[in-house]
Amino acid sequence: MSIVTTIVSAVLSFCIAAYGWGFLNKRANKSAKRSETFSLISIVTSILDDFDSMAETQFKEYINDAALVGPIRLSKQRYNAQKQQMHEAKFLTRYGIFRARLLHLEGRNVVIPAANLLELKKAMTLTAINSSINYQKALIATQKIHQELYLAFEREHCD
Amino acid sequence: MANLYMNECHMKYNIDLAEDFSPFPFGRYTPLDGEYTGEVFREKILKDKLVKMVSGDKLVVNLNGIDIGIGSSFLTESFGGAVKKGYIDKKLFLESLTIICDDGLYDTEIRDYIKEAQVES
Repeated sequence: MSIVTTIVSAVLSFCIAAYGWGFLNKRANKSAKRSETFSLISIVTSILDDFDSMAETQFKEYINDAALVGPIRLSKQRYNAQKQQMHEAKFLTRYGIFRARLLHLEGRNVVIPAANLLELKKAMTLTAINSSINYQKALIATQKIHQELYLAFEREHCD
Repeated sequence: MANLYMNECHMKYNIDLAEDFSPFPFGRYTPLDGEYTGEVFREKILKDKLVKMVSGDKLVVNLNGIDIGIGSSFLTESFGGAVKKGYIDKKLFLESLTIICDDGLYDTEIRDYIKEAQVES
Protein backbone atom coordinates (compact mmCIF):
# COMPACT_ATOMS: atom_id res chain seq x y z
CA MET A 1 0.00 0.00 0.00
CA SER A 2 2.75 2.40 0.96
CA ILE A 3 4.59 1.60 -2.27
CA VAL A 4 1.49 2.42 -4.31
CA THR A 5 1.06 5.67 -2.39
CA THR A 6 4.70 6.57 -2.95
CA ILE A 7 4.44 5.86 -6.69
CA VAL A 8 1.20 7.86 -7.02
CA SER A 9 2.77 10.74 -5.10
CA ALA A 10 5.89 10.61 -7.25
CA VAL A 11 3.83 10.62 -10.46
CA LEU A 12 1.70 13.49 -9.20
CA SER A 13 4.78 15.43 -8.12
CA PHE A 14 6.37 14.84 -11.51
CA CYS A 15 3.24 16.00 -13.33
CA ILE A 16 3.04 19.16 -11.21
CA ALA A 17 6.74 19.86 -11.74
CA ALA A 18 6.45 19.26 -15.49
CA TYR A 19 3.42 21.52 -15.74
CA GLY A 20 5.19 24.20 -13.68
CA TRP A 21 8.32 23.95 -15.77
CA GLY A 22 6.32 24.15 -18.99
CA PHE A 23 4.37 27.12 -17.70
CA LEU A 24 7.51 28.96 -16.59
CA ASN A 25 9.23 28.19 -19.87
CA LYS A 26 6.29 29.61 -21.79
CA ARG A 27 6.29 32.74 -19.62
CA ALA A 28 10.03 33.13 -20.01
CA ASN A 29 9.79 32.90 -23.81
CA LYS A 30 6.96 35.41 -23.83
CA SER A 31 8.94 37.81 -21.63
CA ALA A 32 12.04 37.43 -23.80
CA LYS A 33 10.04 38.17 -26.95
CA ARG A 34 8.39 41.13 -25.27
CA SER A 35 11.75 42.46 -24.16
CA GLU A 36 13.30 42.05 -27.63
CA THR A 37 10.32 43.81 -29.25
CA PHE A 38 10.59 46.64 -26.75
CA SER A 39 14.29 47.03 -27.52
CA LEU A 40 13.48 47.30 -31.23
CA ILE A 41 10.78 49.85 -30.47
CA SER A 42 13.27 51.88 -28.44
CA ILE A 43 15.58 52.08 -31.45
CA VAL A 44 12.70 53.18 -33.68
CA THR A 45 11.52 55.82 -31.20
CA SER A 46 15.07 57.11 -30.97
CA ILE A 47 15.08 57.61 -34.77
CA LEU A 48 11.70 59.36 -34.47
CA ASP A 49 13.27 61.72 -31.93
CA ASP A 50 16.01 62.40 -34.48
CA PHE A 51 13.32 63.39 -36.99
CA ASP A 52 11.90 65.85 -34.45
CA SER A 53 15.36 67.34 -33.99
CA MET A 54 15.91 67.55 -37.74
CA ALA A 55 12.62 69.40 -38.17
CA GLU A 56 13.54 71.80 -35.38
CA THR A 57 17.00 72.44 -36.82
CA GLN A 58 15.58 73.08 -40.27
CA PHE A 59 12.97 75.46 -38.89
CA LYS A 60 15.61 77.39 -36.91
CA GLU A 61 18.02 77.59 -39.84
CA TYR A 62 15.47 78.88 -42.30
CA ILE A 63 16.03 82.47 -43.29
CA ASN A 64 12.87 84.41 -43.92
CA ASP A 65 13.55 86.10 -47.24
CA ALA A 66 10.12 87.67 -47.74
CA ALA A 67 11.38 91.14 -46.82
CA LEU A 68 14.54 90.92 -48.91
CA VAL A 69 14.86 92.11 -52.52
CA GLY A 70 17.15 91.67 -55.51
CA PRO A 71 20.37 89.68 -55.44
CA ILE A 72 20.33 89.37 -51.64
CA ARG A 73 16.95 87.68 -51.75
CA LEU A 74 18.09 85.32 -54.51
CA SER A 75 21.21 84.41 -52.61
CA LYS A 76 19.15 83.68 -49.45
CA GLN A 77 16.71 81.58 -51.46
CA ARG A 78 19.61 79.55 -52.82
CA TYR A 79 21.00 79.20 -49.33
CA ASN A 80 17.63 77.93 -48.09
CA ALA A 81 17.35 75.50 -51.02
CA GLN A 82 20.81 74.10 -50.33
CA LYS A 83 19.99 73.69 -46.68
CA GLN A 84 16.75 71.95 -47.56
CA GLN A 85 18.61 69.59 -49.88
CA MET A 86 21.00 68.74 -47.08
CA HIS A 87 18.17 68.14 -44.61
CA GLU A 88 16.24 66.04 -47.11
CA ALA A 89 19.25 63.83 -47.83
CA LYS A 90 19.82 63.40 -44.10
CA PHE A 91 16.16 62.60 -43.52
CA LEU A 92 15.90 60.09 -46.38
CA THR A 93 18.99 58.25 -45.18
CA ARG A 94 17.62 57.95 -41.66
CA TYR A 95 14.17 57.13 -43.04
CA GLY A 96 15.67 54.15 -44.87
CA ILE A 97 17.11 52.83 -41.60
CA PHE A 98 13.83 53.59 -39.87
CA ARG A 99 11.87 51.54 -42.42
CA ALA A 100 14.33 48.64 -42.09
CA ARG A 101 13.80 48.62 -38.32
CA LEU A 102 10.05 48.73 -38.81
CA LEU A 103 10.29 45.66 -41.02
CA HIS A 104 11.83 43.80 -38.08
CA LEU A 105 8.95 44.92 -35.93
CA GLU A 106 6.40 43.84 -38.55
CA GLY A 107 7.73 40.31 -38.11
CA ARG A 108 6.62 40.69 -34.49
CA ASN A 109 3.17 41.96 -35.40
CA VAL A 110 3.98 45.57 -34.54
CA VAL A 111 2.83 47.27 -37.73
CA ILE A 112 2.68 50.98 -38.52
CA PRO A 113 0.04 51.92 -41.14
CA ALA A 114 1.40 53.10 -44.49
CA ALA A 115 -0.62 56.31 -44.14
CA ASN A 116 1.39 57.31 -41.05
CA LEU A 117 4.69 56.63 -42.81
CA LEU A 118 3.64 58.68 -45.82
CA GLU A 119 2.46 61.51 -43.58
CA LEU A 120 5.90 61.63 -41.96
CA LYS A 121 7.74 61.60 -45.27
CA LYS A 122 5.52 64.31 -46.70
CA ALA A 123 5.89 66.45 -43.58
CA MET A 124 9.66 66.24 -43.84
CA THR A 125 10.23 66.47 -47.60
CA LEU A 126 7.21 67.91 -49.40
CA THR A 127 8.17 71.48 -48.57
CA ALA A 128 10.86 73.12 -46.49
CA ILE A 129 10.11 73.31 -42.79
CA ASN A 130 10.00 77.07 -42.97
CA SER A 131 6.95 77.88 -40.88
CA SER A 132 5.47 76.92 -37.56
CA ILE A 133 2.67 75.08 -39.40
CA ASN A 134 5.13 72.89 -41.29
CA TYR A 135 7.08 72.33 -38.09
CA GLN A 136 3.89 71.24 -36.32
CA LYS A 137 3.03 68.88 -39.17
CA ALA A 138 6.39 67.15 -38.73
CA LEU A 139 5.91 66.83 -34.97
CA ILE A 140 2.36 65.55 -35.34
CA ALA A 141 3.52 62.93 -37.85
CA THR A 142 6.22 61.61 -35.53
CA GLN A 143 3.88 61.63 -32.53
CA LYS A 144 1.28 59.59 -34.42
CA ILE A 145 3.90 56.94 -35.14
CA HIS A 146 5.04 56.97 -31.49
CA GLN A 147 1.46 56.38 -30.47
CA GLU A 148 0.89 53.65 -33.05
CA LEU A 149 4.04 51.87 -31.93
CA TYR A 150 2.92 51.72 -28.33
CA LEU A 151 -0.62 50.73 -29.23
CA ALA A 152 0.63 47.93 -31.46
CA PHE A 153 2.98 46.82 -28.70
CA GLU A 154 0.17 46.80 -26.16
CA ARG A 155 -2.07 44.83 -28.50
CA GLU A 156 0.61 42.22 -29.09
CA HIS A 157 2.13 41.83 -25.64
CA CYS A 158 -0.18 43.11 -22.95
CA ASP A 159 -3.19 40.87 -23.20
CA MET B 1 14.82 54.27 -72.27
CA ALA B 2 13.27 51.69 -74.56
CA ASN B 3 9.76 51.96 -75.92
CA LEU B 4 8.51 48.45 -76.43
CA TYR B 5 5.56 47.49 -78.57
CA MET B 6 3.02 45.54 -76.54
CA ASN B 7 0.86 44.65 -79.52
CA GLU B 8 -0.35 46.29 -82.72
CA CYS B 9 -2.18 49.13 -81.02
CA HIS B 10 -0.64 49.79 -77.63
CA MET B 11 2.71 51.12 -76.54
CA LYS B 12 4.75 50.44 -73.45
CA TYR B 13 7.09 53.18 -72.30
CA ASN B 14 9.88 52.43 -69.84
CA ILE B 15 11.64 54.97 -67.69
CA ASP B 16 14.51 54.15 -65.38
CA LEU B 17 14.78 57.18 -63.12
CA ALA B 18 18.38 56.59 -62.07
CA GLU B 19 19.67 55.75 -65.56
CA ASP B 20 17.56 58.05 -67.69
CA PHE B 21 17.58 61.03 -65.35
CA SER B 22 19.67 60.99 -62.19
CA PRO B 23 20.44 58.71 -59.24
CA PHE B 24 20.07 61.81 -57.04
CA PRO B 25 16.80 63.53 -57.96
CA PHE B 26 15.88 66.40 -55.67
CA GLY B 27 13.45 69.28 -55.26
CA ARG B 28 10.81 70.96 -57.35
CA TYR B 29 12.17 73.73 -59.52
CA THR B 30 15.30 74.44 -61.51
CA PRO B 31 17.52 76.41 -61.02
CA LEU B 32 16.61 77.06 -57.38
CA ASP B 33 16.67 73.42 -56.25
CA GLY B 34 19.46 72.32 -58.54
CA GLU B 35 19.69 70.52 -61.87
CA TYR B 36 17.75 67.28 -61.35
CA THR B 37 14.38 68.48 -60.09
CA GLY B 38 10.83 67.25 -60.48
CA GLU B 39 10.17 70.04 -62.97
CA VAL B 40 13.03 68.97 -65.25
CA PHE B 41 12.10 65.29 -65.01
CA ARG B 42 8.50 66.10 -65.91
CA GLU B 43 9.38 68.34 -68.83
CA LYS B 44 12.31 66.40 -70.32
CA ILE B 45 11.45 62.77 -69.60
CA LEU B 46 7.78 62.35 -68.74
CA LYS B 47 6.06 64.90 -70.94
CA ASP B 48 6.83 63.50 -74.39
CA LYS B 49 5.53 60.08 -73.36
CA LEU B 50 2.47 61.27 -71.46
CA VAL B 51 1.15 63.47 -74.26
CA LYS B 52 1.27 60.53 -76.68
CA MET B 53 -0.40 58.01 -74.40
CA VAL B 54 -3.80 56.57 -75.16
CA SER B 55 -5.99 54.09 -73.30
CA GLY B 56 -4.28 50.72 -73.14
CA ASP B 57 -0.72 52.10 -73.26
CA LYS B 58 1.59 51.41 -70.34
CA LEU B 59 4.14 53.57 -68.61
CA VAL B 60 6.60 51.69 -66.41
CA VAL B 61 8.77 53.79 -64.11
CA ASN B 62 11.60 52.03 -62.33
CA LEU B 63 12.76 53.75 -59.14
CA ASN B 64 15.05 51.02 -57.88
CA GLY B 65 18.34 52.63 -58.82
CA ILE B 66 17.88 55.59 -56.50
CA ASP B 67 20.28 55.30 -53.60
CA ILE B 68 18.98 57.29 -50.67
CA GLY B 69 15.36 57.79 -51.63
CA ILE B 70 13.23 60.38 -53.37
CA GLY B 71 11.75 63.36 -51.59
CA SER B 72 8.04 64.10 -51.75
CA SER B 73 8.66 67.49 -53.39
CA PHE B 74 10.25 65.79 -56.41
CA LEU B 75 7.48 63.22 -56.72
CA THR B 76 4.59 65.65 -56.45
CA GLU B 77 6.15 68.11 -58.88
CA SER B 78 6.86 65.49 -61.52
CA PHE B 79 3.84 63.17 -61.36
CA GLY B 80 1.22 65.45 -59.83
CA GLY B 81 2.60 68.33 -61.90
CA ALA B 82 2.03 66.40 -65.13
CA VAL B 83 -1.70 66.27 -64.37
CA LYS B 84 -1.75 69.93 -63.32
CA LYS B 85 -0.12 70.94 -66.59
CA GLY B 86 -2.69 68.90 -68.53
CA TYR B 87 -0.18 66.53 -70.16
CA ILE B 88 -2.38 63.54 -69.40
CA ASP B 89 -5.80 62.74 -68.03
CA LYS B 90 -5.70 61.73 -64.37
CA LYS B 91 -7.67 58.50 -64.90
CA LEU B 92 -5.57 57.41 -67.86
CA PHE B 93 -2.37 58.19 -65.93
CA LEU B 94 -3.46 56.06 -62.96
CA GLU B 95 -4.50 53.17 -65.21
CA SER B 96 -1.38 53.14 -67.32
CA LEU B 97 1.24 53.75 -64.64
CA THR B 98 3.29 50.95 -63.12
CA ILE B 99 5.90 51.82 -60.51
CA ILE B 100 8.70 49.33 -60.02
CA CYS B 101 10.29 49.77 -56.63
CA ASP B 102 11.31 47.51 -53.77
CA ASP B 103 9.59 49.94 -51.45
CA GLY B 104 5.86 49.70 -52.16
CA LEU B 105 5.13 53.01 -50.43
CA TYR B 106 6.42 54.96 -53.44
CA ASP B 107 3.61 53.57 -55.59
CA THR B 108 1.02 54.65 -53.02
CA GLU B 109 2.62 58.07 -52.64
CA ILE B 110 2.84 58.79 -56.38
CA ARG B 111 -0.75 57.68 -56.95
CA ASP B 112 -1.83 59.98 -54.10
CA TYR B 113 -0.21 62.97 -55.83
CA ILE B 114 -1.83 62.10 -59.16
CA LYS B 115 -5.26 61.76 -57.50
CA GLU B 116 -4.86 65.06 -55.61
CA ALA B 117 -3.70 67.04 -58.66
CA GLN B 118 -6.12 69.41 -60.38
CA VAL B 119 -5.62 70.76 -63.88
CA GLU B 120 -4.45 74.36 -63.79
CA SER B 121 -6.78 76.78 -65.49
